This record gives sequence, structure tokens and C-alpha cells, in this order.
Amino acid sequence: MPEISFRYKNEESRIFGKVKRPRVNVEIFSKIKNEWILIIDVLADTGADISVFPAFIGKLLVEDITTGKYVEIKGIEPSAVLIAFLHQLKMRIQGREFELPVALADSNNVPSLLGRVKGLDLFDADFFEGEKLTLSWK
Amino acid sequence: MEAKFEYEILVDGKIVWKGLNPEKVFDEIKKKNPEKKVGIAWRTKEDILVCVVF
Repeated sequence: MPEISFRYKNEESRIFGKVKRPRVNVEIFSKIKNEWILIIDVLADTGADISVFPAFIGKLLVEDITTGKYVEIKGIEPSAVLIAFLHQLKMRIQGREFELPVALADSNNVPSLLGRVKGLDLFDADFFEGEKLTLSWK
Repeated sequence: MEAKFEYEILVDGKIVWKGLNPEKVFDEIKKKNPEKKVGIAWRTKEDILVCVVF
């Protein structure tokens, strides 16, 4: 079964000092540049229904992010709403190519997230002892 | 007010640019490095990153 592993990234935290986060590198096909764009350190987020990318990354991928379906995304704080636009994009991870819905946010203050729907759900994801994430597939 | 995030552009894994508006810079860096892996990352300075999306 093909697989790819990503070491957790050590990142700063005033609360914990350091915190490790599962981040992956993905490529998304840009409809305007007609080439794959490498997006580094995308948070592998099983708490996210959908994959999300901030506005400037969206602008590298599509001509006009607002041409996608308007969606309001909520998170842990129910009153906070993120405006985003849904686009169907091609993604690849270690040569595995697939299409998924991606929410391109109208804000830059949003992390890059690889969510579950048609994303993480396509893989067997092994979050190994806070050290390593392995994605494998048949 | 200081931004709590920034973008980084990396060439073959090395950071070559940091800032808030990567749109034009990304294309320039990509053109200058046709044979290399050019990527973009979003970074935050937040203490805790909690991302639950519905």
C-alpha cells in the first residue's frame, strides 16, 4: 500500500513552550497558472469538515475566488463566521491525485487546512504518538 | 496593529521571502527558479491553533 509520512512540526506556543502539529505538503492545480502549486505545512485537521485555504493562496489557484459557491463556515466559536467560496480543485499528495471541494476564504487570517471531506477521508491516516502522520491508500 | 499571520515562500525548502502579500512575489520567485520546488506556507503567531470547521 503506498504511503507518505510527515514529521510533526515543532512550533512556538506561549502556553506549552513548544507544540507539535501535524502538517502536510500538498499540491493544488492552479486553474489560472495551469500548473501545480506547492502548499507547504497544511494542517491535517480531522476536526475540519472541509479543506480551507486563505485568500492569497486562493488567488494563486483561481481567477476570482468569489465565483465559487458562497459559504459561511463556523468553528469552535459559533458566533464567529468565516466567509468563503467553494471550488472544486485538483489536489495531489505524493503522486496521488484527487478532486475535492475547497473553501477559499475571503480572509488571510485563516490557516491552510486539509479537512476530511474528499481529503483526509481518502486516506488511512495514522497520527503516530504526536510525532508522525502517515497517509496511506490502496 | 501587528498581523498575527504571515506567508512564507520557500525554494527547495529554504525560506526566501516572508510577508503579508505574496501574490506578485510568488510569480517572480517561481520564474527565477524554474528548476526548483517553489512553495508557499501560511504561518501564525497564535498560541493555540484550534481549527474546527463546520
